[in-house]
Amino acid sequence: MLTTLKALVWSYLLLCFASFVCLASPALQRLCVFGWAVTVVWIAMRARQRGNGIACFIAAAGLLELPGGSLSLVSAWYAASGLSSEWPGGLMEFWYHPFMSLLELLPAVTIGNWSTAYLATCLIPLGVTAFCASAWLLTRRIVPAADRF
Amino acid sequence: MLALSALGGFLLAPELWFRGSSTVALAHTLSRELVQGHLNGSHTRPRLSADFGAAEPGDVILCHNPYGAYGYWTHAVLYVGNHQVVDSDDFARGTVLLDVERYRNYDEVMLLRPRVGKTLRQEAAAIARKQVGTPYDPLAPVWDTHSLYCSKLIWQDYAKVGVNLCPEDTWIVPDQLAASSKLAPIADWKS
Repeated sequence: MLTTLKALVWSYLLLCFASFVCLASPALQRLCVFGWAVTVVWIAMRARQRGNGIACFIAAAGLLELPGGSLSLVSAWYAASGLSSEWPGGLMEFWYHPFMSLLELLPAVTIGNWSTAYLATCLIPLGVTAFCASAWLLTRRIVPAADRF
Repeated sequence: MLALSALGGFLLAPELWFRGSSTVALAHTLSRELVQGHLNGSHTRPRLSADFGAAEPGDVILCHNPYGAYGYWTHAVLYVGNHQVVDSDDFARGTVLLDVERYRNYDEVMLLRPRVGKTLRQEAAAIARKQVGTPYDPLAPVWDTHSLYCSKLIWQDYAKVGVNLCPEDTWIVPDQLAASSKLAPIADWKS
């Protein structure tokens, strides 16, 4: 699992770096996210070849999302409590900025005084974990290794 | 694929990042201030005795508080009438409609009026009202219309009615609006 986790972490850090390099071009940023999604499928395929099970892969994805998930919770708590510090939300936005170019395409409305882009950002930890699970299942046909948990 | 995208970014980066020398200066200022924990400034003073009665729809309100990361003026909002402003400053809530009175909670507040006809100012205010709900993203460039931040909202709304408040840069900060010759100071309140 450690190898898979390292690969996922490096891929995400590279995504963040690429996204900041392409900061002035949302179109390129979206391309970076697509490239990262392809990379995750490749990491899933390599994990399968090593004999790792789906639970192991999802656990690695969950650990990858630990910083972002924590920031989401802290940010939501700050916002709901009316606390004025912009740091929790700001740090969360920086961490998940690669996805902002996609989330901004959501309808520009608020749901109960919350921006849809913000709500969607808070759900990214779940979304990425679910995507990793999907990537794993997608590789089932590519790598016909025995499934084990 | 990811590496190719990053390469594309690198190749395009000089054109996009260095479009205006102010972008480089902004990046330098931000990096210097952020490591000291400065972002949008700190609110330490009691409320100003500012009177927004003279404000008209389309007016720009600039706000200053110390320890801002990107210039003297740390915030900008667009007055849209009925004692309300359109403000894009909060990632959680996006672009919102707020009471103008809350902007007395700064060290200095300046009211500016674009040097254009009343009709154009009212059109810009109407456009701003329609943008309530738009996501807040200070990292998106000024030409991206899917998200806003405070000074970008003002610049874009006036650009849509054909008024260029200040030269287009990748990112526009409130200081650039303050320095614009197309904005006339109406009032300035300091604590």
